[in-house]
Amino acid sequence: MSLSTCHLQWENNPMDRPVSCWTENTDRHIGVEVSPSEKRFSRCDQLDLLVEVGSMVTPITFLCSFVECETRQRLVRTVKKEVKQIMEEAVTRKFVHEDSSHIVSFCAAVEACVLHGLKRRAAGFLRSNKVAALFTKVGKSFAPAHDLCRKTQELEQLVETKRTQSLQSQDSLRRLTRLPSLTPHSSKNLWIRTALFEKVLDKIVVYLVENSSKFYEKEAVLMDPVDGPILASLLVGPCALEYTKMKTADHFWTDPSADELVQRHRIHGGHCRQDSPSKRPALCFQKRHSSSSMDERPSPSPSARDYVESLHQNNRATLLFGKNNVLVQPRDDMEAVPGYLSLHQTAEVMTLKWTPNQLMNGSVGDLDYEHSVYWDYAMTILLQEIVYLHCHQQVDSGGTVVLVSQDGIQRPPLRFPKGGHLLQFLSCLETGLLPHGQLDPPLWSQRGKGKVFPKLRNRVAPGSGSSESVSDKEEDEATDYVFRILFPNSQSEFVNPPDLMEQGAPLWHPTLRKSSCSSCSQRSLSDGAPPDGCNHERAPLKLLCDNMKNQIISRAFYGWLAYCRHLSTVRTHLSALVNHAIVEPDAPADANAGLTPRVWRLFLQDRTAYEEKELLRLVYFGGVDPSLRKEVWPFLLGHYQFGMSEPERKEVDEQVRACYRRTMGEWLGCEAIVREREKEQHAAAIAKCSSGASVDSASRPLVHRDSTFSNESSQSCSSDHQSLARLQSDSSSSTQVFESVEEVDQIEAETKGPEAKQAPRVPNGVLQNGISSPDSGHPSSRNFSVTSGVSDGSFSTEDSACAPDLGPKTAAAAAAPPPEPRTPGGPLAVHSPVKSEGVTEDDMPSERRKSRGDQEAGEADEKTIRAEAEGKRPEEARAEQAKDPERHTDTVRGEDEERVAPKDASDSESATTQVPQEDVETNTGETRGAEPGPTRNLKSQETKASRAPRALSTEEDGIVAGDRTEDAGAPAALKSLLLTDEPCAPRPAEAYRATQSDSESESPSAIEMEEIPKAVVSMGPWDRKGRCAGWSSSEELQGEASPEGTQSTLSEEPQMESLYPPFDSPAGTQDAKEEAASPAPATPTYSQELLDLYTLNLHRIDKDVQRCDRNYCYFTPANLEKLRNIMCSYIWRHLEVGYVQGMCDLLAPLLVILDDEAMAFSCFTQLMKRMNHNFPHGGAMDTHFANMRSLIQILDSELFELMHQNGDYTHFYFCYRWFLLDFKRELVYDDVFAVWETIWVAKYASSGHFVLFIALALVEIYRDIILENNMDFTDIIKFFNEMAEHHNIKQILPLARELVCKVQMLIENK
Amino acid sequence: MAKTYDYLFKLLLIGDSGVGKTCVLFRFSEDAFNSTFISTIGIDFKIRTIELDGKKIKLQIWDTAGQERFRTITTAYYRGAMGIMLVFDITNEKSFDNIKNWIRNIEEHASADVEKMVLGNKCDVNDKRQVSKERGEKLALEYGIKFMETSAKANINVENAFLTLARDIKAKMDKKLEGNNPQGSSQGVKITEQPKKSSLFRCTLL
Repeated sequence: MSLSTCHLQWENNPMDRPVSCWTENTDRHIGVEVSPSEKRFSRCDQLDLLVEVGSMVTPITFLCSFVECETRQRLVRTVKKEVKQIMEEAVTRKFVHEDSSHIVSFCAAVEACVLHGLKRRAAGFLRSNKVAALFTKVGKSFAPAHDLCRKTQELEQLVETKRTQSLQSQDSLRRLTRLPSLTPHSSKNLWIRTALFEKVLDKIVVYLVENSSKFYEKEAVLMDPVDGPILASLLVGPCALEYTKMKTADHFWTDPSADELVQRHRIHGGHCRQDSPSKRPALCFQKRHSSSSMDERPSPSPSARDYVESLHQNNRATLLFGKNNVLVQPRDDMEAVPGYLSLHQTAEVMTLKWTPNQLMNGSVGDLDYEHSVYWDYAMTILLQEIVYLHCHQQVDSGGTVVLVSQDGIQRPPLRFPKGGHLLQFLSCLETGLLPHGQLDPPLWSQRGKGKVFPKLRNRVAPGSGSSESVSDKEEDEATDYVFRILFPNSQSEFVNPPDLMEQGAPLWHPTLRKSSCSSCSQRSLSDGAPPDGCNHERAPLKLLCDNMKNQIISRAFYGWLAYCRHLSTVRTHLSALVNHAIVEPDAPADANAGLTPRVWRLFLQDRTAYEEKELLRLVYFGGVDPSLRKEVWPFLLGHYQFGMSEPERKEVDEQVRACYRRTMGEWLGCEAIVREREKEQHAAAIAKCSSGASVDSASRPLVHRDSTFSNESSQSCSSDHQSLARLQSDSSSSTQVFESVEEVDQIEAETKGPEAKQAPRVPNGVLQNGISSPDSGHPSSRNFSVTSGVSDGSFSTEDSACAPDLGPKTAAAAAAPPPEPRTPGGPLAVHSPVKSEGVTEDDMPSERRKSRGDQEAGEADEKTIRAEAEGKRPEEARAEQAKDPERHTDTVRGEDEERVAPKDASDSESATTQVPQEDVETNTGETRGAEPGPTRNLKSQETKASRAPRALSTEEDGIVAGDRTEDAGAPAALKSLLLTDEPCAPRPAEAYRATQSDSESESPSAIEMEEIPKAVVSMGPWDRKGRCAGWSSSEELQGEASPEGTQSTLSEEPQMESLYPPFDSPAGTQDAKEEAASPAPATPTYSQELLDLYTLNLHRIDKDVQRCDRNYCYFTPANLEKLRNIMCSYIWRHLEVGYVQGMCDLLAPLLVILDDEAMAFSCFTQLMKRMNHNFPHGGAMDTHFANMRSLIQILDSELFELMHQNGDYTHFYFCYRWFLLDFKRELVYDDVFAVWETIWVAKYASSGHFVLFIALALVEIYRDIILENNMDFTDIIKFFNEMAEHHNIKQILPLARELVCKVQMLIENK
Repeated sequence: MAKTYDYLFKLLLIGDSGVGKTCVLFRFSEDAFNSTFISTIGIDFKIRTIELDGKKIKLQIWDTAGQERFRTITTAYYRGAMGIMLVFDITNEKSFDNIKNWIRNIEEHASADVEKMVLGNKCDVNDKRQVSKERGEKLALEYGIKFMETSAKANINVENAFLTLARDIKAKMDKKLEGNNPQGSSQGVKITEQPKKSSLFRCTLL
């Protein structure tokens, strides 16, 4: 509400107390800070106008014309606003709907303008629809309007028919559907609306403006030489738009998308941008702009200026009342002069001022102004001096007040203009006197009317006898009153009031208390004054006031103190977030160009040319030239050190490459086994499914069990087990789930029938005297043996259970063997690329493919069975499968050596190197030979065949082994000489090392060993099936082995254990046969677990690699393959963490830039050192959120308040992805590169937590939108998710740097 | 933002990673299919407003990351959810088996009366099917929840599934309202009487 409207109300509505109006004015000073600037200016400007504009003849006319002007302005403003809304909608939504609420309000606004000041003749005397009348009139002389009239009348008739005709009428219904615009609200401004849709509205208004004199009164908007054309031109835009009826089902009630919000903001919030991002200054005490805007203006005459100024509300005095054109007769010989009467209250005194209009308007020349006679007439009366107020109400004028002071002198009468101003004045005065003084008798409050003069008919004091008593006029309203101003607390001053006006005073005294009390309570209702504000409780009130004052001051102080404390805490907290040394962007040289090729060349030529710090500074402020990224990134990520010479760098590369190849060799081997296992499972699952529902019900328990154990759930479970043991950080829920499922299955297994158990039990019964259990020494490992064993066991039980109906099983079983016979050629071909150092990675797939080509011939049937879901994976898997047998032999050898090594305690190197090798040869030969199955025989041949080339490769690897010895020490070196294929010694990650609680040197064997049971498992089922009838033939093997697996566990978990011994047993067989007294018997269980773990991770990686940035052109299948290789290698070395979604996203940009597997692997490893903590297992995310929170609190308190409304860290979940992936998903690739390198170098240049500041910059850039729309948590999440890849990095990075600087400054000037 | 709906339902999509949660949601909210979706990180949601019995219902559907590692985050959203879609992939048996784990998870973290539904997604690729429809139905029967086979790619049943879930939620809510006295709609779902977000204005004095 602007001041002028206050005045307006005041003029028109006498009962509206001016005090409210001026309180509104008082509000201004508070309001200034919270209200939009527009409001503030309008108020101030009007005040100034009121005081200063001298051209106005009298203030009252000034006000009148002002009111009209204001009305016109308001009308035009409304139209402006609506036009803006519609245009905005048209831009953001591409079309405007006819029923849009904007259209409705727009039409209403236009109608108000068109009707404003319309001549009654033009409006049509009797017509209810004035617009219709007007338009019809216009139509007579203006063709477009004529057409419009016709159309609108048709529509009107339709509406009419709709109203009159009953709704059942088919005809009208049909017509209504044809013209569906006749919704209730659309008929409201039908004429304007139709004109708009017909696009003639602007033309008609132009016509109206041109011929305005014909239709309008002189104060009309359209008559105005300025406003009229403005209005007409405003309408051109909306009339050019297309309006549509078409809409989607939920067109109206969808939330605006993020894009729309941003666009809207751009359109109407452009001007706010300057103050953004922090409208409120960060961490500053706000100064109150308590002085009015006039203060700053230069004043021609200080004293006069001061005086005029003193008439305003200012920081020293409150303006309680103001009224212009109050007539005063300054001198007897003068006419009454109108002037401005104002009532001011300061802390101590209340002053009444009257200033002649001549002074107010400043119509006198500047020179004369100071010396104007009117200064003499101006009055300043201290209300303390006044005792009595005589009020006289005349019929013809507003009323007169005569003030009588203590000394009995009467002041010149103040004659108020008409309209209840006298009463308002009194009311203001009374309010102003509180709490120290009061008016006696008090004014009465009357509901609905506000304050009224007291009715005094019952107040005639019995013995007063005063003839002039105001209570004379009992029944009628009294016209004359005498009020006394009382200051109850300082009554001593008025102990003896002058007897000049004695007659009134004694009259009131007797009734004083009572009346004031009652009115007091009445007043308290309306005024909100404390009910104990009666004069007989004055003393407590004073006390109360003092108390309150003290309280306010103390609260203010403690508030300030708390604020300061908070500030210092925040400072200490934030100081860790930034480096304290501020790096300048332009010293020593301008860094905004970034790291250019020239600089980089110079640096490479001469490493002393630039310091590392300087280079980092360049990158921080200007980024790396895109062409250089491939070279520079390894430096930034720590792959190279800046000081390294070229040979040194080459050396690093070599090491990394070797290491990468080794790692890859390891996991590829593991993967081959996994693939094999999976293939069977897939085949089984599909077979099961395709075998139909009839089998389904019968084999349901089996299926259920099988699936539970042999797929990811079991793997995740085992990984849970394992991670519980290792990390103690995984969710226990899934473990619980799994365990309970296990129980269920146990029962099912029991009920399932004896035949499943029989097979294993037979050997049990035969051979009870087994060798000690492998588990016995490691109780903790039993868990794993249970799960892993069962997961394998499920197959056996299934097999045996399904044995009668051999249908699907045999298919699955038959699928398994084919690769093996084919392998003799395979392993060599496949293995060589991995082995030989000269072959580049690029060649590898092709080589593999070649080897696959050999195999493919025999695999046609298998392919169909295998699930193709993995795209090209199966092919690769096949290649690796081909390698399998070789691995098997490796493992056997590895295992043997492993066992030998501890035995010999690695003292005699030469001895051990020789012995195990022989062992292997003989052992494998033995085992294979002893087995009756034909495939085994085949295999033993293979293994022998494949071992031959390995012997050759041993020499080759000897070179690599040299490296390894450095890392792994003697035992590893020993092994590496022996094992061509186990280069795990230098593995830096302690994945299983920790759990295995074995020496480092044993870890390789563990990996390899896990393959042993696998190898056997893969053969086991069908092998056994093949000789189902001939159990006895293998009995010596099985029999010897099975007790080992079951013996100890049987007692505890008889049912469960009995299911899987056959699968542990082959492994055990070898153990038993070869190394009866093996010191490391528990390893197979570990390895099984590891295998599961790896399988699980492999699945996750595959899933994510397949869907990683397929839109980006770089990621062709070949490059995705690279991505996968690197990821698998990394995970292989960090199995304790495993793959977590998002890692692929972090790797992808590195690979894109570096385009080299080994290099990307190394850099990714470096990158993950920092990023690892952000993943769920790291726990850094909460720290990020907390920091983010503090930063927002400090730098943007307004936004913080919005976010704080619901108050916990979940509100920063919209940042989750930002921090997890370093904004990779928020930005397009090119921007990701720029942001990443800035983040990396920011650690040295400004802050190790630069991500926080980028996040902050993102939030700040959209802060206005967030605030404008009052977004809550969900809105913000939605907004930022929709804004992904739409951010402007050119804006964000500089802002982020600026924010860092801001915080640095904040910490610096403590 | 203007509230132009009668009810707001919060739904949640959960299930193993890669079963097609995001695609199902995308199909429902945008009626499109995108084969190049990337894994969901953190949490996202989409909105679609539907009309049921003349009531406009705004469905706020939260899409979660599938990997268990992110469960700490996703479970935070279980609480407010009124309906949960459990999605598995019919070509991936383990995703089906894990439905049990997910249900257990829901029981732990979500409110007891949350509406649930199981979706077997990717039913367009029948030749790679690993989980028969009967098994899905059996599991659903076991837990007393509805089951549907959907395909985001072929647009089979997606719309239907969400509408069914929304209808169930609404029915449950209406029943609850009936059960209580008519005024007892203190469930905070009726949006019309939802208090407006408190204004930003704060007194700057202290």
